[in-house]
Amino acid sequence: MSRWTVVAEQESRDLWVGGRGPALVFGFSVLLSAMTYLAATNQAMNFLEQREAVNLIVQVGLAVGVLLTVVVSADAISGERERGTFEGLLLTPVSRRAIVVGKLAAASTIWLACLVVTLPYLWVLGRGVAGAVQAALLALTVGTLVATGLGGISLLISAVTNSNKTSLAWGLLLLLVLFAPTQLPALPKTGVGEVITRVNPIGSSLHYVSQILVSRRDWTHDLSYLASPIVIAVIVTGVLIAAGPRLVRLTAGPR
Amino acid sequence: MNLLNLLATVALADPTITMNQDDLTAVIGQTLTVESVVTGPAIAHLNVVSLDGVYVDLEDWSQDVTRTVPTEEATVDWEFQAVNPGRFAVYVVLIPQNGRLVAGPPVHVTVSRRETLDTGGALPVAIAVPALLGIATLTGTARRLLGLRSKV
Repeated sequence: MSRWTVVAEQESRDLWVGGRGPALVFGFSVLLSAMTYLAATNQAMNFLEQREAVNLIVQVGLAVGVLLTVVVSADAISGERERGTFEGLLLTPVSRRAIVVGKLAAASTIWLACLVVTLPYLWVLGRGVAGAVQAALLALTVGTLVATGLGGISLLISAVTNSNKTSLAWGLLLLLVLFAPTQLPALPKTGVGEVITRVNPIGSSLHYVSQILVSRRDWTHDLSYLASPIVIAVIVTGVLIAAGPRLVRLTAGPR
Repeated sequence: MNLLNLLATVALADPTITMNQDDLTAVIGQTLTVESVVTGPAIAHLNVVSLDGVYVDLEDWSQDVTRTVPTEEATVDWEFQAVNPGRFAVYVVLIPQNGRLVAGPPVHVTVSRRETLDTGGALPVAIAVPALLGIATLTGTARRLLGLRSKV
């Protein structure tokens, strides 16, 4: 087993056996249950077409799943520094690059768990319109790209801060800044708005998903919208691998 | 004289509108697209009118109802969501730079009601998934606490 997988396995065990992961995923399932029940039963939301209901669950699942990935990543290095457990990890015969890659892989497991929890809701809302399988595949591919990119950025922030509060605050601020433009409904229809949507990994991903699920476009039709999440995921992973030895230190800041 | 008349008729020809459909049926909430071929220069505007006397809020149907049409013949797609049940006429009006308004042929849209999604299927899933995850979380927490106590 390569070194990074050892770190990933240990970090995943801490996350899932330690109880933090199951508690977060439980909260996530309560939110999805409320959304699904409202979408399926509420008379006021009756105009919501079945495919739109599936799209709503994919968007909420993706947004909250990425949020949880960012929260877990933000704690990965600065949290260990704060708890005083990082020294022990640095003394193990594992390269610092393996530590950072293993931590990113472990943080990504929370996204995968959110995806698995989302599946029954997609199935119950998407029955009969052949939307559930398509939605699940979209959530897997697009969501994994966004979770890797933003989780990686959050891990970078965690590596350069000593305080867990600081890294968490920066991670959440980043998410807020990226989510806010997605709430402007007509944004992709204006010239500047389309540029903002395409640059924003969350905005472009949600737009791509809704174009396929609601507008029934072919999956290749708006593929260029995935450029931003792909580029960010590749660059951030590359930076983490290349700069890992310099990032993983007992304390953040200049030597 | 006849030639001048002909040229004047061609040069001052009224803008025209043709639609690619006459009738559409939809379930409430469904997103529909109609295609129009229009000649400008003019401003094209989409409108929706109820044939049953139901109030129509155009903003709810479409966020993009006004387009500028260039001089040449242009194809304009109009996307809208059927948010009310009943019978409706969807049509495009051209406002030319000079001259009178030109209204295109209406597309008759019949929107049927739909009951809520499958309530029976949603409720068991909405209860079962958090319940199972909650039990798993509590079991894990209990095991961890018991393990810690036995170590002490």
